[in-house]
Amino acid sequence: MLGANGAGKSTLVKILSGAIKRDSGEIVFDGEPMNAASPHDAADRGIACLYQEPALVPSLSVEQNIFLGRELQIGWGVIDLAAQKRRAHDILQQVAPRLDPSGPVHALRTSERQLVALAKALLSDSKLVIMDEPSASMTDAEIEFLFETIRRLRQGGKSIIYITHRLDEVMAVTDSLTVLRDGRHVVTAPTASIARDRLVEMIAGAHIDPFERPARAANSKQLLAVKNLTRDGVFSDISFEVRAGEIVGLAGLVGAGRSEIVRAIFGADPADAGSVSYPKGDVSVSSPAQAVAAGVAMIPEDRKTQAVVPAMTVAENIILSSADHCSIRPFGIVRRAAAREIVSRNVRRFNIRPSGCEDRRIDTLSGGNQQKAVLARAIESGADVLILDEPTAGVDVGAKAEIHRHVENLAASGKGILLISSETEELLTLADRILVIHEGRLIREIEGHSTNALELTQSVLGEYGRKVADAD
Amino acid sequence: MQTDGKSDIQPANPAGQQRPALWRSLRGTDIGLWAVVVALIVFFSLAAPGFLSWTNFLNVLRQMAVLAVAAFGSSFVIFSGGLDLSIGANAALSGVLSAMAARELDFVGGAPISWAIGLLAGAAFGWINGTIVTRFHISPIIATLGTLTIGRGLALLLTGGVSLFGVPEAFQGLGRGFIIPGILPIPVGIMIVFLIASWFALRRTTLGMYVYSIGGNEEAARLSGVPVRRVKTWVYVIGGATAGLAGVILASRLGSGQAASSEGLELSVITAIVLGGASIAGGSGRIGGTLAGVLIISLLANGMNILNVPPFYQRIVTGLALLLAVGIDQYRKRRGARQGAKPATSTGGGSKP
Repeated sequence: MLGANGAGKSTLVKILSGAIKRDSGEIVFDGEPMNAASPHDAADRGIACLYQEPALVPSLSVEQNIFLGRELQIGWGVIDLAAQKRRAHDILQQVAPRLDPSGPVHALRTSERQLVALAKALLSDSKLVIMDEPSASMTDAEIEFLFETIRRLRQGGKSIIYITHRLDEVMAVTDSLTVLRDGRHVVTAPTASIARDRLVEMIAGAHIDPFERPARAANSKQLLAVKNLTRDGVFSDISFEVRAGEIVGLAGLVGAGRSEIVRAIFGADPADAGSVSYPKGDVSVSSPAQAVAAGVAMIPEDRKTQAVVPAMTVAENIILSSADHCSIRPFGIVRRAAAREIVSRNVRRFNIRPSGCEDRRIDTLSGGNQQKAVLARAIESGADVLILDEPTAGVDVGAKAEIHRHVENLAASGKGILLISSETEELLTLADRILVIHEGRLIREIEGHSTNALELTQSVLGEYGRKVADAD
Repeated sequence: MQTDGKSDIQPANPAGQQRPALWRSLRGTDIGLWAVVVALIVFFSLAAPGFLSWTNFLNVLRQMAVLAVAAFGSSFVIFSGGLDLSIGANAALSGVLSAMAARELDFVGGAPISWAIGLLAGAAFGWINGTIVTRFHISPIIATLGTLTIGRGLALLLTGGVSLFGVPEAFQGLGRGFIIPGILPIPVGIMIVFLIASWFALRRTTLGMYVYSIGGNEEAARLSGVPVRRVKTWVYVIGGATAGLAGVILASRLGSGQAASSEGLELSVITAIVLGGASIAGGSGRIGGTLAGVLIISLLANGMNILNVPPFYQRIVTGLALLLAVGIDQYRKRRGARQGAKPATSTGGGSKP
């Protein structure tokens, strides 16, 4: 199963596995209507699901994890260790003969954990195994081993839904494929019947016209310069710059390393090599506090866990990064009039609703309004460069348009914007330049106004330029 | 009514501006909590002869001062999501050091210096806790469990396990003296000063805002540019300094340095803060709540003493009071969450300041 970020693959899988409820429609499984109440229920009926990050208990052994919740018992809660051992051995023979059943899971690599999760799935005699991007964190050799396992399972009569972004894998291991786009079914056909470049077009959709927008800011002041930034095993040799008045987009698949790159720039994670020069000079930055002092602010990826302080009010959340600017030193006594002025200015400017929400807890606001408050906080920190990591994730359409307008206004007022988005449309709407990150590397730089959705999708999938080679 | 994190940084609010902010903080804490305080006073006034007298009133205040001072400082730690188990040991060690210094500095003006030494020793103890927590990434409960044991051991080592008597008369002034004779004992004065200072620091300064933000969501605070490490170190320094001062007041009142004193102070302090409505997970709580918690513990102890309740029963009652208070609070929160779980756009729900 293929589709761009946000095409609806994971949601569909969650419905199949009973993790979320469908609104309408019908699922027929093995000739019968299927209404799984929970993942556990789905597993009992023969549908097992493997997620990217397998849900295992690290401190328990491989065998204990396989049987967790379904222990073989002698009776009265006493575990039949001998029977479990035999059974674990049989199952592991199918998927990972080299794995030690008594070894602890925390000592395993992610790919091996995937196999343990697979073994767990096979325990309940699943007829269908759904794998959601199992290869995302695997090396080539590990992927090859996974494919062998998949082929073995197929010969044993199991069906597999394999979700991936990598066309190579689809070509190598699948019999038929389904493409989703924007929550809709595009095509289901035998894999061999579809040409590779046609497949990319189907994933990207029909918007192949260049996006009409005048180019901005050509030779303005450089605000941020990143040189050869590397974090071993995560991303390497990343170099780019952001100029005043410019919106630079970072495109890539989920897990390509985009958030990790900006977190390193922001001092939230360490970098192993390379340098960054900041708007307020070539200072060394090893914490977000230093990055803010150096003129960079960030809106993190996950609003709930990384951005808002739920127990605090909207006002306190807005002022958090700038409280220092409006306080009397050395004791940091907050000048309330100044703080109030900052808060109400931003509530007005960003139209944060409902009106008069300043002293309400921020978690009583809608996602879009929370995000506007977080944006206000970042701007009030006095930053020249704003890093926006998925700024419109999970906000409604109206708030999204508002945020887009604010981002454009900020650029127009001379800020440099570094925008991560998994939405092709958003990048094409906003970005002057788009940097494509693929498996931790910067593989392409595209002028925002001269590209289109197809070209961008090809680049993001790592397929750009290979069309020619395949055509030979 | 519950800890809704009401801000002092808010647009003009004509209705709320008329009363002094400290009063609003005390009142806004939790009506239920102050109702318990009043109920205890009424109950003991009726049940315990001699409870309702000026002498006993001063007695309660003087007894609670030590606990209150330590609890105000520790509130910073707990509101920021930390925990300090070492304050009893810190108080004992600081008290011993202060008493030792007083014996050496037996001249006019020597006593205040020895008090200051105790306070600084407490702050240094707290700084060590903060450094262990922030630099070596050891969880607060383990870090302060370690320093608790070390601190108690050091105090025993310094005293040789016996009480350190022979401190000059002047040293005892801090614990026994009066600011206004017969009306305002020095420890009570110190308590009031720390009450106001703590409230001010938590509600009106960047430090206070950072404390709540770290307790509420440390990662969000960090990514907003809050100097998380520095603030976390500071809260342990504050908690340590107040523990040290509490130890000095106690040593001064007893007229001796005792390595075994303040045993279990940390548990009383945590009890008081949690009674005051703070979450042990951090991010919420008020200094007014801590004051109410200290009052409840002290009134219970004083009243039961007058009623000649044996100390064993007193402990059982205090424990039950804690479980009851937190249980009721949790029950109300769950009920509140079920009823008022309308997020986002509903216009109701936000509690009035």
